[in-house]
Amino acid sequence: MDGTSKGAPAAFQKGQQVGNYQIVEVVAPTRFGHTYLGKHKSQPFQVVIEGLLPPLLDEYTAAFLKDAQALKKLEHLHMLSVRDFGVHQQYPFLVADSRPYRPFSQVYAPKSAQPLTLLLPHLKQIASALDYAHRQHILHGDLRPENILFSANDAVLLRGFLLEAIMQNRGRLNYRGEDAAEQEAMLYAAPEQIQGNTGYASDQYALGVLMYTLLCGKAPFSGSSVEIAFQKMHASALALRRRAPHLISPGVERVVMQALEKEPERRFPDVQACIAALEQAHDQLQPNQPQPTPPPKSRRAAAPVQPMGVSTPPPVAPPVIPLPAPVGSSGKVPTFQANPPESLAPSPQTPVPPTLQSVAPMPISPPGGSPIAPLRLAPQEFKRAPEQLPPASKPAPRSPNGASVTRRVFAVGLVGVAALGGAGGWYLLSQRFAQATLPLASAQTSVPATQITVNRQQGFIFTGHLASINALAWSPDGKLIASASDDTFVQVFEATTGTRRLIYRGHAEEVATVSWSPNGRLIASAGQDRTVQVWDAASGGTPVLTYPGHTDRVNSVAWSSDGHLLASGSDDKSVQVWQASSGERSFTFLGHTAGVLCVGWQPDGSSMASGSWDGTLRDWATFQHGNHFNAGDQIFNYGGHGTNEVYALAWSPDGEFIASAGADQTVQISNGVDGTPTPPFFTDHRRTDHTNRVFAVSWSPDGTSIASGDEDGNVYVWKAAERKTVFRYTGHQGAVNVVAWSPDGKFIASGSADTTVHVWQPGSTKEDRK
Amino acid sequence: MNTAQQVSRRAKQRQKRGKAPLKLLLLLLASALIVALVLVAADLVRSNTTLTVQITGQTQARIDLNQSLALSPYLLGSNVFPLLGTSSKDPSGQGFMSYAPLVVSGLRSAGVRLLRFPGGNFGEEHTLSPQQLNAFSDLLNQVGAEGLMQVQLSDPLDKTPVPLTTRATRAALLVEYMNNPQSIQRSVGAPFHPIKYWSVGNEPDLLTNPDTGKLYTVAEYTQAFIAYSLAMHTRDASIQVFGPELSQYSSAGGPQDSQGTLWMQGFLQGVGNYERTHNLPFHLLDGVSFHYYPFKDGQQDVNTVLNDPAQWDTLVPGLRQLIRQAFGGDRPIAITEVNTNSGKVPIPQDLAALWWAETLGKLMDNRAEYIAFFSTEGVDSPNPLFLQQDLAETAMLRVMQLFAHLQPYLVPVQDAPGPVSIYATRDGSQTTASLFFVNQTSQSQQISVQAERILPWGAWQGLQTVSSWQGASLTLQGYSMAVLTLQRSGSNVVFSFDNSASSQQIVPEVQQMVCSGGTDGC
Repeated sequence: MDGTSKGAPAAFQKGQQVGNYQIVEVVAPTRFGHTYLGKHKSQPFQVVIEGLLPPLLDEYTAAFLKDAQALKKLEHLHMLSVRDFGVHQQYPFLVADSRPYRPFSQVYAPKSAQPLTLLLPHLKQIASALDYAHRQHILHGDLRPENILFSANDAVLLRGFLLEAIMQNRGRLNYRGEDAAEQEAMLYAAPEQIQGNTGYASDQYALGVLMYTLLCGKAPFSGSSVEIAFQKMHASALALRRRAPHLISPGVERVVMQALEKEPERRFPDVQACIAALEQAHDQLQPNQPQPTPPPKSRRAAAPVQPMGVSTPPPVAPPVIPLPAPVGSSGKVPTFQANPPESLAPSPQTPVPPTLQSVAPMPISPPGGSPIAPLRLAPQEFKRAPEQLPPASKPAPRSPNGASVTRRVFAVGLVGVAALGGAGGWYLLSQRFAQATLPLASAQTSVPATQITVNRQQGFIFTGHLASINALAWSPDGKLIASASDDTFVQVFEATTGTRRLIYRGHAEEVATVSWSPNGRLIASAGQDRTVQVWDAASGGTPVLTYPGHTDRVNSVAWSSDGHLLASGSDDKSVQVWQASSGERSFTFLGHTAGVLCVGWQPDGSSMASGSWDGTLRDWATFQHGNHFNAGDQIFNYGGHGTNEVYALAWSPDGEFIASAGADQTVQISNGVDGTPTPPFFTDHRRTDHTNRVFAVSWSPDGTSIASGDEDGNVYVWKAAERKTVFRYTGHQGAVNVVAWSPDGKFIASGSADTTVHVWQPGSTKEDRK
Repeated sequence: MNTAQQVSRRAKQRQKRGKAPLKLLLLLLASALIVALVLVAADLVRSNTTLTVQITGQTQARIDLNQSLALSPYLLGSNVFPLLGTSSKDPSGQGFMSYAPLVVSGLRSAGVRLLRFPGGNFGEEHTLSPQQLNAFSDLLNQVGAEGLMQVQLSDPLDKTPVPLTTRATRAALLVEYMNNPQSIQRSVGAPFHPIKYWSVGNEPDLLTNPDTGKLYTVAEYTQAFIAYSLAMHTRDASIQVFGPELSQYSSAGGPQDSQGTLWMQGFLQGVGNYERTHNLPFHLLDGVSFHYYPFKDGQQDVNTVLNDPAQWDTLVPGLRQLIRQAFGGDRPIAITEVNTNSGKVPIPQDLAALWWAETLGKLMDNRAEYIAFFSTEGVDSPNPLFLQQDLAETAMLRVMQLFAHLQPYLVPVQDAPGPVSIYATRDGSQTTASLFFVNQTSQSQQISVQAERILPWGAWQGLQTVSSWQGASLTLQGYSMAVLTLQRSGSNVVFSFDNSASSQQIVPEVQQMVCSGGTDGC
């Protein structure tokens, strides 16, 4: 089953008996289904029923009932309580009292800045409700205006708690809700929530978005769901401040920004502390700051209170009577997980709210539950000791107004997210992946690997391909390697034994490139057939998406670090950035005068570098860089390779430098910020090292070493700082087309025109090893 | 000495004088007997090993069955196209040949042992799909033939052509697909028939080089051929690769490239030089191949058509000489497409059949190793083996059906110039001899085949029966052809095809007649 709720039939029809209730009227669609006005079959009162889509799989029925039961127990002055629940003909439903209410939009007009004085009481009520739920070990998970109602006496009624069972069911069925609702949900979702690491601080983040939006009159992020997610992962606090700096006092701004911190641990300890700080800032407002104005009584008075569940059209808002969606069961963290593995699901018996450290990272749910995987960050720290800096001179920051600091913040943030996301989580994920049984035909059951010893360490040679190896990619957990070949196949094999796990046969011609999604679930591959194909490695190569945007061979593809975007470079001279979930193109970088051979994301995702047959290495902005570059602008053009092709590039882990390999027999380091050329790295080695074209380059995860492979079949491993070759691997019998460090930096996988992949450990001494 | 003694001595002397003539006579008789025995023995041997063929108006031809040369088993081959209803990797490439049982049985009856695929220029214009490859494997299994597959020299699918190394790799992957039943490229249960013979490209002298956008030069094709052959052998070292697949070749030298280089000579020298300078465990080139379409459309002159096959008597020896010069030894010759013309207007079928019979005979006489007729079915011009309409069998198929009755060893025919061509074969044990006759005249011809005799009493029945061969005589209608099979101590059999009576629509079957006596009509 695969679909969206657009135009989806309602779960129940007018007159239908659903549990103890009869449907009187279908009121309106919601993010999770439809709301209905109903009446009890024997009692003289009306109720609001939310029928949830899609039909509930049997395996989730028990969990839903349990979650709904926990939700039913919640009683709070500022919550819309659940009175009943059930599953009718596989459609789950929740029942709430039909009460008079006003929707959020009737109280606060969209896109209008509100005085803090007016907002504060309502914000405190929201925080009170959230705090109560948190103390009951229940997250809201979906705080946004649609889920905030106002009673007849102007009190907040919070509803719309997320149910984990419902989310899992949607993920399993790949069900996507209304775009508008999903987009709004994404706007308010915390970065860690996008990664599948929802915590109590996620509700605080959503509250921060609400505060920002109400105070500034506009949301802190804009664009499509994926773009919003991307901005959340990469936009700096400075950028948020710039959007509406004049509307918030420094004190209030500080509070809002702290609530919007990307790292959950940097936010307030809880929502009450956040509101307390906001209240304190309000009390300390400076005289020159905008003073609170009286509440727009006229507007509020003009908005009639309507009974909940009655479809009397209000003057502004549609007669939506959304239902309070139940919370996850006690102690359970609702997630956006599209299809969470059972082994990763937090234990429902855990009484203590899970911390971010203890919550296993789960695949990102795309804005509608499509199978985008969670952000995957390299586990290594991006900090480097000064002596490890590759170039002799530290490059100037790209932007004079602090962009380099922003980048550092990005890096630290990304590392933090990765670390807090949980190495343990990834371990579990990798375990799950490793245990997945990939369908293998009989012809694929042989173990096409032979053991070798390199540098006194065990390695192996994978011989499963029939033609030249063009690309390699380690799975984020380092357990698997994907290899792309001229034989038209992508193969996945175990990184320790070479045992083949999967052969992907989706390409009609040579496969030039392969890239593993940060969450380790999806693989993107592309090549001579001009398509980029995204497929699910965990499910045996199930096709997910085919991107047809290129008109010629696609030479390179790369995932953004958050897994939302893919960049592809082609012989059609373009670099295209597009959304991994939908294939919707975000940017097309045109500037190369010949085919694009390689692409690579700046680690913080702020730019995209590309190398070409035209001999240039270019860097393109993927979003606004202060006042200097708009998204889509070319940031720099590095021409250090002359007219010789740039076959490969690799960003340093800190994003400060780019190593590029070319037909001029050199590997060169350019400044990743502005493209300032640094002396060719192999100035002192040209005579003895690469004596032919260099096809491959890879930067070690710790940033200290670079591996480069050449046409003669050599792989050189050299210290970036000392510019000194420490190891040379000569085991290949053909040109080395690709080298890739394992995520832990211990192994190097090299792919060659000799049709083999060698996995080996580089030595620490300058010595040839064959 | 007394008188008695003298008388006795005289008597003894008389006795001695009386025995001498007798001894002489006995000696003469013994000598005569020996000569006679030798003659009889020689006659017996000759009559068992040599046949004479007497055709009205022609000098007697002798067929010495002791002189024989093994024929290639792939003398009878044909081009086949992708299966009707299948699609290539590129959507525009649609299969267009029927693999119906009628076609399969027809090919089997014609003794076809070699199928060239995908035939013609299809392989350069389209990229074969696994479905088409599997169907071909299945066809090979059904027909019982070996495959000769073309690998693509062009790059029709790609907007920007891939490098030569990639194209060579694609060829190698095709070898892998066809010859490795465990290949990861194959689906489980797909038909399998390993392909021993391969050729690189199709008519490269007319092809555009994707690297240059211009017609291939000899040097470029030679370079490509070497790269292809090396790559293909990495997937299966036992394969045999043919080239250069020229669109034409003649004893005059064949086509030249834009640089003025003769294609065949330049190619053979280039590959030969590479083989000499590289220590390869296999031959890069295992067969020298070209196509042969001697006529233009509309050719209907009988003499012109019938005189053409004689070219093979100079073409093949000349080519062998070139091959020896280039490689220091022999390499097989393969005519991978052969028919009267390559245009869209076929010449009359009966005339084409005569030409085809003579051509096959000449190629057999010159011991060409691989021959693939163009084509089996799917294209009606030039004359195929089966017409598209109702898969009607043609006279071209009949010719091959007759050849299918020949024996595996060629026997040179001496002194056989004339309007009726004679081609002779025998089996390995000399128990069966098959003679192929082609009447190139419009008149019926009387043909008599006898065991050759040395002694003058050859006509005496008592002695004639000493030979294990039964004589035969037959009447061959104008423009018709027949195979006479003689079996030692057995009945003779005649397979005949009345080409004179054939028409474009209804072609008579090959007639078989078992001879019950030496002169009873066959």
